[in-house]
This record gives sequence, structure tokens and C-alpha cells, in this order.
Amino acid sequence: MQFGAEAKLQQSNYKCCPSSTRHDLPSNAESGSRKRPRETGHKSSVQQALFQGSSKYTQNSELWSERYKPNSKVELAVHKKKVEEISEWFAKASAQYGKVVSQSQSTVFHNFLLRANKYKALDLTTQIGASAGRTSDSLLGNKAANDKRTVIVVEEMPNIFYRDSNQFHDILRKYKRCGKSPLVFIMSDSNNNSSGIQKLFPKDLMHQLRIDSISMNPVAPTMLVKLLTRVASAESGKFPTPSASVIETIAVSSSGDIRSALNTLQFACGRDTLDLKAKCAPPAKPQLKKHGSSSSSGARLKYGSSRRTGSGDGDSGDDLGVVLGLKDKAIFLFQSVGKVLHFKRGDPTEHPRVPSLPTHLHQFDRDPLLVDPEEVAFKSQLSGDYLTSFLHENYVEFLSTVEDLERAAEYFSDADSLSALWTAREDLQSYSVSVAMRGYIHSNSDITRHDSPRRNLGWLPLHKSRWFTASKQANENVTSARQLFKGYHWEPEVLCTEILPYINLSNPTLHDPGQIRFVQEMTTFSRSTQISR
Amino acid sequence: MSLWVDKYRPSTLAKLDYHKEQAAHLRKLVEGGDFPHLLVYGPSGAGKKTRIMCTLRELYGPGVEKLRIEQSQFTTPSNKKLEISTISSNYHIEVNPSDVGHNDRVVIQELIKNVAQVNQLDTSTQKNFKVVVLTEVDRLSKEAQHALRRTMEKYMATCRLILCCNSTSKVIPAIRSRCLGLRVSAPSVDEICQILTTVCKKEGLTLPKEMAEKVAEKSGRNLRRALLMCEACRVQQYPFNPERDVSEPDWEIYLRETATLIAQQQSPKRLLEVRGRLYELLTHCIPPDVIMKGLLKELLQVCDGQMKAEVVQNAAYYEHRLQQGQKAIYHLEAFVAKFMAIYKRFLEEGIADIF
Repeated sequence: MQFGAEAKLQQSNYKCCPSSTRHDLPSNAESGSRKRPRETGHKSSVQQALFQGSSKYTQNSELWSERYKPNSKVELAVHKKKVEEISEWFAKASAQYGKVVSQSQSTVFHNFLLRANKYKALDLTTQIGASAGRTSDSLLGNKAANDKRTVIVVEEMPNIFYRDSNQFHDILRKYKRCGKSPLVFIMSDSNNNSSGIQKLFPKDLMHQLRIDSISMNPVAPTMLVKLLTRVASAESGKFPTPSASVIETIAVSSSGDIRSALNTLQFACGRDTLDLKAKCAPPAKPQLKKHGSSSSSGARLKYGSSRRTGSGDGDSGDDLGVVLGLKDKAIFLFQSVGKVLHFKRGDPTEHPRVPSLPTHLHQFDRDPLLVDPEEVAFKSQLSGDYLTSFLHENYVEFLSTVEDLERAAEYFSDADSLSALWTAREDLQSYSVSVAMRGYIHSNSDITRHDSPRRNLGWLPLHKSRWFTASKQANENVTSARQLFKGYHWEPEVLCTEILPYINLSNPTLHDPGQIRFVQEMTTFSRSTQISR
Repeated sequence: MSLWVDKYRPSTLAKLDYHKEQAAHLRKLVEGGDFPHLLVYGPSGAGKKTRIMCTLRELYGPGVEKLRIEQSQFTTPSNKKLEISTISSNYHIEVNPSDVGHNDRVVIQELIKNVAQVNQLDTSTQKNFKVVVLTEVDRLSKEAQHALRRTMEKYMATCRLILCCNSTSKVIPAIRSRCLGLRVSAPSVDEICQILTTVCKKEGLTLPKEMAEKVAEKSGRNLRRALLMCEACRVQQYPFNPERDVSEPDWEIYLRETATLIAQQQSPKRLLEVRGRLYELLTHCIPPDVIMKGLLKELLQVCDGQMKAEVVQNAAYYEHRLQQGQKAIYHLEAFVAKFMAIYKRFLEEGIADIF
């Protein structure tokens, strides 16, 4: 997942829900959400598509993301397999409960949750009763009488449950007992609130209440291109049709967020794409072409086209994105990292004022650098921490000897130990990046002179730092271990290094399938010799 | 079905299998009435927790065995909510403050205050103090340790602390001097054999002597591990076959393979491969210092005398940084790179000597 992964970087700000009608079923497929309790964004559109009739839209000022809501399964830009997975879930769920979607009911429940938030009233049954104007029993009875099948969708969680998840768990448990319809929660896991998901739906609760989780991936760029092209041609009467390269750029930079892609397209068209044509006609298709993939020939697109080698030709491709007002942040990140990794040295005769080293230090003598690492770090607008870890992920391939490796690795270690004191961490961060960047540059003994022959590295893709995902995963695992093996009360270290591995070996009767699955997960190691990223 | 480790854990000081003299001391301490703060330390799997629970039982009777698991909430001065799970009885409360990371100071202070403010209900028949058991004290931040020192003195009247850790080197001297240090050393191989045999007898199994020795050796004098291993062997094959290898946790095998990879080839490409494996271990919640120690142990086997010293010194250096820093992977990788460089130089010198 070289590129796909970096798409994640940009997804945190996706919450730009354009729908003004709160009670509608959630509309557009949302991007990038890894789904959690039961379902995510796409699901709701799937649902809408599966179970709902057509809707009429007439207003002109309407957002395209609203107007082109999918109305049937076929129109969904989600991978077929996912659609199937969700359809299957629905089949299962409605078999269990015997219901179909009724929009009003979802509104009621939505209202209920909103109200619960407002009044802190927590009794699920009475709340449903109150908002529906009858008791839940009669409500359910009524439902059966109508033979109207229902799915309850909760799209946004009231904030109070993030603060006190126990209340929420109680409600869920109650619902499990008395609820008659499948309940669907849609949550997006942006980078920062994944802990919220952990908290709202801890593993043990998921197993206890038998909550299925379906996780959605970002929509594939090829799918997006298709969708955008369809929308663009449908709208083409009013605007000049945007060129294929414009659409590609939008698709690629949206990192799988359909709504944002459609909005970008609409705004770009509104701005008159003729302007853009001048910009993007000859040199455009900037990023995609570079990797020799031409979308017209149906080659695969990938996110993170932004990642380029940072040498020289970097700027031309940005323009289109800037004109379109895209939100591609990774571009800066990988460009910055690339600049450092592919650093260049200048001819010392042109920099006469550089002092030379005494002879006994001759081995450390280098020609003057043409990159200013501090400036790169500053311009990247990223926290030093982040930049360092991306550099760390990628530096190894640029070094050829173990001695260089030894030195560079030590500098990274130095950089990290600068952040040891949390009181001074903020202040020292910029120094820490400098140590890492300059440490790497100096350690690279292949390029000590401006005319050092460059090893043919070939085309080295840059990778997203794995540290953040790894440590997040580790934290989640520790939390799950604790939740699932509460009764064993061991310290987490003992639990993970001794108890779980031996539970796996000695197979005592475990209490629930969640434990079994978790133990297996925790004791299986990937041994692939390929460097997986 | 519970694990043997839990099932056959001795519950009273009298039932302890080894270090009996120490157990007798503990009993005298309890009888003496003026129970001090305790700092229990020693290697993993030596029986520290068992001894603590036995002492508590000696103090309060079987009531301490009625445990409940609770979530306690604390609020930091910056209004952040912290949740921590505690295990408690009517007489004691056990908590692992390092669970909350660098906010451990707040937890320590609030928790002890809460416990100490409530007096024991029935002081005539019971002790007039409660006990707070803190585990993994060596992982407490310095701030928390200083907070602990002050709180210890302040609430001495109503509350005693039992601190539990692997090594006292990370506990500040001020705390060490306020506690009665109690080192629980690892049981000897013979003692472990003895216990394994008794446990197997209770399970209705016969454990051949060689098998018991093999398991005891393999466990590295860690009783918990020896029992877990023995149980795993039982599941895999019974009657026990002393010929058969004792199975090890998957992550240890994985770590050993990783060490072999490092020793086989020293190149940037190999380092990348190793890094992937380090990440894999980290995501499986193997603590970085355990990884470092495991790697060192395996790597030392390919080193000769003089190199050993150099490698160990570097391992210690990076392990120290690991504790200080934030991103373990940098330091683990730096150690691997260092070893690769040292080992490569060694190999090259060896070749030069031959010619």
C-alpha cells in the first residue's frame, strides 16, 4: 500500500456534510472511513439505493453531491464486493428481524438520540415511545401490523457518549433486548478520533451484542473518475466539459472522498474550466503520466500521485491542483522528504567562504549543501516529528553501506532522544528534525562531492511512515487484550508476552469467540520476506 | 477452565513452596502490628504478586480474596478525564498506574487520597489501615514517584503501600528508603521441578523427572512461564515425552528468526526487512525493551569474547534511549544497524587474518 496509505493523511477534515436536511438518510458515500460498528458511509447510500425510491431534485443551486446521490445499487461507486457484503448483511439482518427501511423510523431514532443528548434522558424505550408518541411495545406491535420493515440508522453520535460511553453501552444493551429492527451505526474513523470508536464500541461489547463491523475503504480513483465523468457529462449543458486530466487530478487528489471530489468538480466547473485548459493542456496529466500510466488506456490509478521525487521538475504539476483548490497536503510532505533524500551538493569553488576542515578530520569533509534542511522543514508546515518519521521510513534505501547506515540510524536515535523531556519537546522539535536530516545527509558517504557519481537508484517510491499506524494498532491491541481478558488481571506486558502465547498453545476453553479470534491474531506473525508497506 | 498458573497459586504464606524463611519473616511482620510500606522486587515470574496476596490474606483474612474489578475516573488539573481499572477488595486496592502514561502522577495522588480518607470500618477486629498495591512502579514517571513519596508520609496513619517492580534501579532513592525492601529472587531449577511435579500430581498426571528439568531450564527460572509451558506440553502430548521440544511463544521464535536474519547478512536491504519484523513485533504488543533484550540474547551467541562487550554496551546504550525517547523503532533500528556494522567489521577482520 505504497500510495493508498498516504491518502489517509488527508482524511481527517472530511466532515463537511453539505446536507441541510438532517433527517434524511445520510446521503453520499463518504470517503475513507474504515467502518466500524456495523456500517459506514457507503452503506447508507447503498441502503438508500437498495431500498428507496427515486427522489426528485429541481433546484439549480443544489450541490452535485446531493443531486447525484445514487438511487440504485448499480450507480454506487463502491467496489462491488463491498456492495455485496452489505447486501448480504441486509439479507441476514432482515431475515433475523424481518424489516425493510422506513425513513420515518430512522428519523425518529435520530431525533431520539439528539434528544437524549439534549435532555440527557437515557431510557431508550421510553424515549422511543416518547418521540414516537407511543410505548415501544405498541410501536413494535404496530410495525408488525404494518409489515413495514425497518432499519435504524445512526449517523452521528451525540457528543455526550464520547464523554460517557457507559450510558451508550447501557442503551445498546437495552436495545438489544427490546429492539426489533437492525440498528446501523455509521462512523468515520478519522486519524484523531479512532479512540472514540474504541471507546464507543469496545471489542468485548461488539462480541457481547454481536455487532458486525463492515469497514469501507476509500473509493478507488478509477471508480471516481468514472463517476465524475458521468456527472460532468450530465451537467455539461451548462458548463464546458472539463478535460479528462482535470477530472483525473480531482479524482486522485480527493483521496477517495466522493463528496469532496464532487464538490471540487462543481466548483471547478463553476469557475469555468476553460481557464484551466490553458494551464493543463500541454503539460498536464502531470502526476499520472509520470508513472507511465495513462488513464485513458484504463491503467490503474493510484492515490498519492503527488509523491514525486522532488528533484527539479516538481513545480509544474502543482499548478493545476492549486487552481482547482485541491487539498493535497501529502504533496508537501513527500516533496520535502524527497528534497532531503535526493540532496545535492555544490561546487566548493563557487562557495569560497566555506571553511575547510583540518586534515585529521578529512573523512568528514563534504562539499557545501545546496539544500537547506531547516528551510525544507519550515516550508513543509509539518511537525518535525512527522517529517522525521517519514524520513526515517525512507532513508535506508538511499544508503549503500552498513557503515553509513550505522551512522544515520544513530542520528535518528539522537533526534528522538532530544524529545525525551516532554516539557521541552515543543522547543526542541525543530532541532530534532535538523539532527535527523543533516545526520542522514552527512552519513551518506556516496555523495560527499558535488560531482560524486550517483548510484543508479532506479525509481524509488517513497513510503508513508509506519510508526503511527503501528503504535496505534499496538495501543488498540493492548486495550482489546485488557477488555477481553479482564478476568485474568495480569499486567499488559505479562498478558501479551506470556499468557496469550501460551493460551494459544495450550488451548484452554475460552469464554467467547472474541477471545479466540484475538489470541489467534496476536500470535500470528507475518513472515513474508518481502518488505511489506 | 483456568490456567494452572491461576489455579495452583498458593493463597497463604504457609502454603508457599520456596523462600520459606522469607515467608516466615513476612508473617512476623504482620503479627508485629506495625506493618511498614513494602517494596517488593525481583525478576518476572518469581512470585512477587503471590507473596503480596498471601501477605494481604495474612493481614485481613480470606476477605481479601473477594475481588472486584472497577473502573476509576480521575480528572487532571487540565480537566482531562483519565480512566484506570483497579482490582480491589474491602481492604485493599491494586492499581497499575503506568496504564495512564505520563498522567500517572494524578492517579497516584488522587487514588491514595481517596483510599486514605476513608477509615477502616471495624478497627477493633481488623487492622486500622488499608493497603494500596501499586504494580510496575519502575515504570512510573519521576513526577509520579515524587508525588508518591509525599503522599506516603502524609497518609501513613490510615494507609500502607505495597510497591511491586522488577528492578529498583528505576525507583527513586527517596521511595526506596521509605519502604522495607523485599527481594523475591527467582526460584531455583530444583524448586521449579518440585512445583511442576506437585502441580502435575494434583492434576492427576505423571511428569517424568527429565521433562520437569527440561521445562525448568527452558523457563529461565520463571515459574509462571514454567507452569504455562508445562500446561502447553500437556495439551500437545500426554503422556509427556521428554524427547519432545518444549514449545515456546510464537513471538520468541519470530524474534530468534529476526536475529538470524541480522547475523546472516548486513546490508541496507536486510535492515529494511528487519524493520518490518520489528514493526510486526511492536504491533503485537511486545514491549520494545523485551525485543531489545531478546535480540541481544540471540545475537550474543554469534559474537566472540571481545565483541560481546562492545555489543552489550551498545545494547545498553540504546535500551536506555528507548526508555527516554518516544519512538522505539528508531532506537531498535539504530541498535540493529550498529550490530550489523560491528559484526561486519569483525567478519572482514577474520577474513583478513586468514590471508
